[in-house]
Amino acid sequence: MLRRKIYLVLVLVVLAAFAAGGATYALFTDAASNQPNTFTAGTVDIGADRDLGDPIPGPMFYTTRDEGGFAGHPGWPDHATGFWCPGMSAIRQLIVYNAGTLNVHLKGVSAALSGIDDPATAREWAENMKVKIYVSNGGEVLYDGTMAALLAGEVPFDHAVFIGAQPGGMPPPNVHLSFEVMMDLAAGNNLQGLTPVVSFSVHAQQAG
Amino acid sequence: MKTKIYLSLLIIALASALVGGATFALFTDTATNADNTFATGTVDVSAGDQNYSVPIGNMAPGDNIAGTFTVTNSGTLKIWFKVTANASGALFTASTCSHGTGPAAVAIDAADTGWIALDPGASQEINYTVSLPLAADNCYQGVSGTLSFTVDAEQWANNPNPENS
Repeated sequence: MLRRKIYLVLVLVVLAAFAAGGATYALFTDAASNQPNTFTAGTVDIGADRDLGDPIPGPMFYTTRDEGGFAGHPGWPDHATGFWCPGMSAIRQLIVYNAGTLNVHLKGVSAALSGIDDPATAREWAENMKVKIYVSNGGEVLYDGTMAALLAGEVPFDHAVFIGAQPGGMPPPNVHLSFEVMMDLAAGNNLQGLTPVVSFSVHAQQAG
Repeated sequence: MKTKIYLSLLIIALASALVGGATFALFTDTATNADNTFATGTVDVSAGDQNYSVPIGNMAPGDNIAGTFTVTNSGTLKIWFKVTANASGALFTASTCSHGTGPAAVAIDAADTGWIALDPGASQEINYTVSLPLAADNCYQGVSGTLSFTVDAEQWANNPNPENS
């Protein structure tokens, strides 16, 4: 019986010793972490320039040299359309480029009109202006309809146009779009002498 | 029972899609080509006053009086134009004399008949002759008539056959 008590006391002593040692117990340790990893969201950034060799920026369609931005550039070649009349058509090109870091799809087009104060006249003019947009050099037709539809809001392209990204200061990848505009032969006399001004907008979103 | 479970799952999936759609967003951008001008032209033609080589208030049988007037394209588009003479009144009416041999007549020079092209800002002189035949009867004495011209114009571009437009 006494022996038992002695063993018990010994066990308690050992445990107490361990407990006391635990309070001051230490192993060599270390910690390491890698460099912070930065996550940056990419950018969808498209731009557009008119083409056909016009040497200065400006609109695709312009009636006179001055409207085309050539006022300060005498002798430079221009592509002024002259005045519009029923049956007239003109094709101009727009280079849309991907200046962002993400691949993009061109997904639609819209337009905004100014220069015609009377809403009914503006509507009639827009209904008589036919617009066809396609990838240049025989590519897919993206839109074939009226100016009026474009003025109503973004119209989805019939086919999305992919433009890859090329980060790193390289020339941005691009696609050439042809804009073919025709004034319907049935346009009425009340559309004479107007000066409609249109902004064409091409809409893009990230691809993939 | 199974059907109900599937139905419930389908409803949950659709609801999730709707919620997802409401908050769905992709990066986007827009490129704009502004200030495209589609100024429409004008077809605007005018006819000047008639001019005569001699006074026209005292015609006699056998007179052939030359007249001219000028057509001007005052619009911004090239045009086709065509001149038509409008003669009226007893002097130009055959029935004025029941037994007469003809009233006064107007003849536009051949070069000025039909559809004629004219550039914006340009003018063209129209030449014509007003004649009272030698055989005109006495019943034409003292009668008069009026003469005016109508100039019809159409755009020249995209309009190869103005007569049919």
